[in-house]
Amino acid sequence: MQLEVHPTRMELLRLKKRLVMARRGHKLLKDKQDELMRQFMDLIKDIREIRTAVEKALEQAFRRFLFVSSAMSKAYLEEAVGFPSKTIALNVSRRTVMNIAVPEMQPTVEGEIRCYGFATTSSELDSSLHSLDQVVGEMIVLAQKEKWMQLLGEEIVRTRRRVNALEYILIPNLEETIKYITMKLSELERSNLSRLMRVKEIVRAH
Amino acid sequence: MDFIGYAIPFAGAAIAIFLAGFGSSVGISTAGQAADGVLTEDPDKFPSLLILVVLPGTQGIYGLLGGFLIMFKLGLLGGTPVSLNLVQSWQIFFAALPVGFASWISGIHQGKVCAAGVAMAARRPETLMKGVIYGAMVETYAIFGLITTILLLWSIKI
Amino acid sequence: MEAQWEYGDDVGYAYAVGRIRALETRLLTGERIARLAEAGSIDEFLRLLGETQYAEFLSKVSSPWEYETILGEEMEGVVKLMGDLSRDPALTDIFRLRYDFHNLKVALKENYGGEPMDSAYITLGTIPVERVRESVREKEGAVVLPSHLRAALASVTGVFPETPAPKWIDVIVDRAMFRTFVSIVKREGCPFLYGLLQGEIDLINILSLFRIRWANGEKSFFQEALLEDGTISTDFMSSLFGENLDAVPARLSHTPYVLMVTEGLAHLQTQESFLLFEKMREAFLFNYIRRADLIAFGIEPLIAYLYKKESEIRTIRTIFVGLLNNVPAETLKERMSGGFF
Repeated sequence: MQLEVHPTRMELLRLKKRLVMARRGHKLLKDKQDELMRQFMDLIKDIREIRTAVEKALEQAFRRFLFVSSAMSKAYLEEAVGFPSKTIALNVSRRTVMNIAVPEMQPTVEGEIRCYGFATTSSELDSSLHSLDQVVGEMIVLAQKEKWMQLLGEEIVRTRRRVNALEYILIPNLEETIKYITMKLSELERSNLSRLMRVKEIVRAH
Repeated sequence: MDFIGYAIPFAGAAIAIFLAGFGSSVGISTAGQAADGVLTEDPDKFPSLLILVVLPGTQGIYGLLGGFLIMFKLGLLGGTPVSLNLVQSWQIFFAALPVGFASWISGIHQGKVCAAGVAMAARRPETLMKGVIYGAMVETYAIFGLITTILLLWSIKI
Repeated sequence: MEAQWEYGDDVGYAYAVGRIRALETRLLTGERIARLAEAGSIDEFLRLLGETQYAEFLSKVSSPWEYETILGEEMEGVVKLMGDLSRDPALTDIFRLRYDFHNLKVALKENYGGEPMDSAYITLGTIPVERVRESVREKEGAVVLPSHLRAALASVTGVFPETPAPKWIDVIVDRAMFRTFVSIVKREGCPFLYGLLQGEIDLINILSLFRIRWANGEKSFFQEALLEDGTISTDFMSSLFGENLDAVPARLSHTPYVLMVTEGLAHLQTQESFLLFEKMREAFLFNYIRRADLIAFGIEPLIAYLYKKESEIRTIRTIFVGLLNNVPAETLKERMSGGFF
């Protein structure tokens, strides 16, 4: 689709400049998209690994906890863990990667996981809480990376939309318009020429 | 010194019957309580537990038998009352003691054995007869007491 | 009156023991438990459970997830039965005092932690839950508590004017609890229960050692957590703390716990799991409990029945939890305690 412009020489020059600009922008965006994709793929590989590990560890921890809840009555279990002494504070800061603001999570761990005595608790509670405790750090890393992945994905979609807009709409339109103006201009020139020739003939006939 | 009355032999007979009856009732009460405990949870066991509960009751019967034999010896049950001197009176008195004491003590202990037997039979009904046999072993000594009493009474010459 | 320090010989218990023996026939046998564990589905399990004495409670709940209600009612029944049958209420009350101390811990944690924990209270204690709760909330109200609870409460609030770490609440109250139990048993003179308590104390102390070492805890905490009055002195126990873990079984070779420690430790080191420790602890106590089978008149069979029942309830809870969460039958059977049935 050609742009609605006056087919003037000025316009042609402007459009030609825009075309050069668009081509350069397209190349840059394309490069950015490729780099984003590469990072995205790396991240996905990373996340898949951590996710498998976390899921396995969680499953094991839950299985262990399941049996603790069967060895101790509900009231005793609640008494044991109802007043926890371990706190995890999550400090979230922003960092810019490839022009994207990504969150950086920094956990601050305080206190210990054992918040109960020995006489009325099953020792299996220890190992079950221990495995849960261990998986928490990895879960935070996973959450952070998954957020990165999400933001990166959004950025990729946006970049691709721009690349496509440039590649399939703006650049062809510009080219078409340039062509149209060029043709229009040469048409004008031709008609001018023929008019001049006609005038010349008339003048000569007298 | 011929006739001094029946006070001393009567005391013997009374002691035999009283002690044996006491032993039996304590024994039955122990075994009976244990059986009650079982029956609270499992009333169908009544017939099989009955034998263990009544087992300590035999001692009372032995004591009663001893008492009757003394009365018989004295001629109070049919026949003519005999006259006794002091020695004979005391002989009858002491002859009554074996059945009395043996029944008293064995009755109480048999009660415990039977109560334990009840508890055992509650768990494993097939062991009932074993419990009865152990109970009957205690019974032996009450029988020995009774036999001794009978033989002693027999040997007293009036 | 001077208490008689001897095994049960009170014919007054004839009725109680007779009743307990009859009740014991209804405990689930090992065979039946294996069948329950193999039920495969929760429906099949409920059907099998319907053939046992738990049938009575099954009808009261609408969903298998309410298993805690079923088991709670069963436990309540047992504790009430103990009270009815006992001729030494001071001794059988020990098993209700446990819940008083438990409620005290909950109330303390509620008070310091700030989170309400209503469902953690157990109503089987000797004093109403509300009273424990109120005494903790308003410290002057502590006068209404019996002296042993008051002392436990005072030692927590006295040591910690600020908010204590929750583990200290447990450790201090647990220690007070066992001290109370031992003093009651000594006063009443019950060698069977004394031995049982000593065994429990030893086992708890030994397990604490491994639990704290495994979690890289501190020696000072271990020393504070040690319960007194066991057969193994607290000094000896704390001397074990510095040892290499592999050397501990040898140091305990003069105690009856050497087998448990050896096998439990091996399992802990290879599998990172305390399962075998727990199983062998239960087996050890059960072995002790079995002595009561030989006693015809006395409180011992009652205590033994209570323990057996507790273990049975735990087993059934395990099967419930396992089946409701699709745990394979093999894993479930592995967890069934070996020694108990």
